[in-house]
Amino acid sequence: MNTQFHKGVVEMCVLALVAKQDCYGYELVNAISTQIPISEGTIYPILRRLTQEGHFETYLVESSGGPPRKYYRMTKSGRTFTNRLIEEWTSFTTSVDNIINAPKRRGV
Amino acid sequence: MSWKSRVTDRAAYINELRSYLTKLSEGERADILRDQEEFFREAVLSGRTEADVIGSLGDPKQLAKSLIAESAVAASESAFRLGSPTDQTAGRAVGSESVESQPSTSLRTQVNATLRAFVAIITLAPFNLIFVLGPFIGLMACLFSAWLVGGVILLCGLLAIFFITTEMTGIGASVWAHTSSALLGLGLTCFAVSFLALMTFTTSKIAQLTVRYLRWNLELISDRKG
Repeated sequence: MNTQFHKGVVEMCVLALVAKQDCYGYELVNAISTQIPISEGTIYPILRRLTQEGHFETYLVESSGGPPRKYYRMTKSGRTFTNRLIEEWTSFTTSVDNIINAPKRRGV
Repeated sequence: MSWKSRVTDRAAYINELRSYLTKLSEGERADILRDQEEFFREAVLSGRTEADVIGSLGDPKQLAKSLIAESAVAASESAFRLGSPTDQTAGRAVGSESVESQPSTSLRTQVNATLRAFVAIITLAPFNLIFVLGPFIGLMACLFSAWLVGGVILLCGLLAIFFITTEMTGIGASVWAHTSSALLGLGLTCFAVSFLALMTFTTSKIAQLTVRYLRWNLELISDRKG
């Protein structure tokens, strides 16, 4: 499918995943790239941007055998933003489904 | 490929990337390199080879260019506080109207940030030049001439006032002639000042639209590569 189409939703996927639980970068790369074909480099800039815009906070957690991992936690404004995006997305996909599944119209 | 023979492991890749990121601020560069190292580490932990990761990341120089472009566009977006629809909702959600009504950054900062983003995008993808540069030159020409016209009218107005006030005591021309000339000068000046104020607004808006266009363009370019 069109890659431009994918890119638009990657940000929302990142938000949706972090909304469920705090995540570190690679976890997100994995979770998304196994479902949607994206180049791996795209996630980190999105994370930095969302952090800059105040939707995420970061903190470090010690990991076994290696430097600490940077985790992303959703802020209040991030939650509001995510909810709004998901709402818009759901109503959009519902409309598209309705059109795709609509019965044939005859004689009108 | 020359870079592939030079960059064979993680450390070399990170070093190479660092050397291309000198344009960014210290903090931002450290942030990016940290993320990149983490990515490497985690990928290797999950069983991939360093060579494989290097292959999927691609030429460090190209990666650096796209990181710089991304950073420059993001910076200019925040100069306008447009930051996609994101910021507006964030401001409203917290319920602090002050976030939105804060005075935005100066026109100078906005224009500078926009120009930087523009240059970064051209550097990232020279083939992209015609799509960005053409419209851009046209716009700049229009803006420049409008500013020039405003400036000249202002100058005329000021000169008119200046000469009237200095000549006033000299030749005994009719008071009415002086008064009408003075009013003309005043009118021109007022017109020029409001015109220039309007131009400030317009320039800011146009720069803002340019940034949106650059963002869109950036997504498109990185798309072709990905």
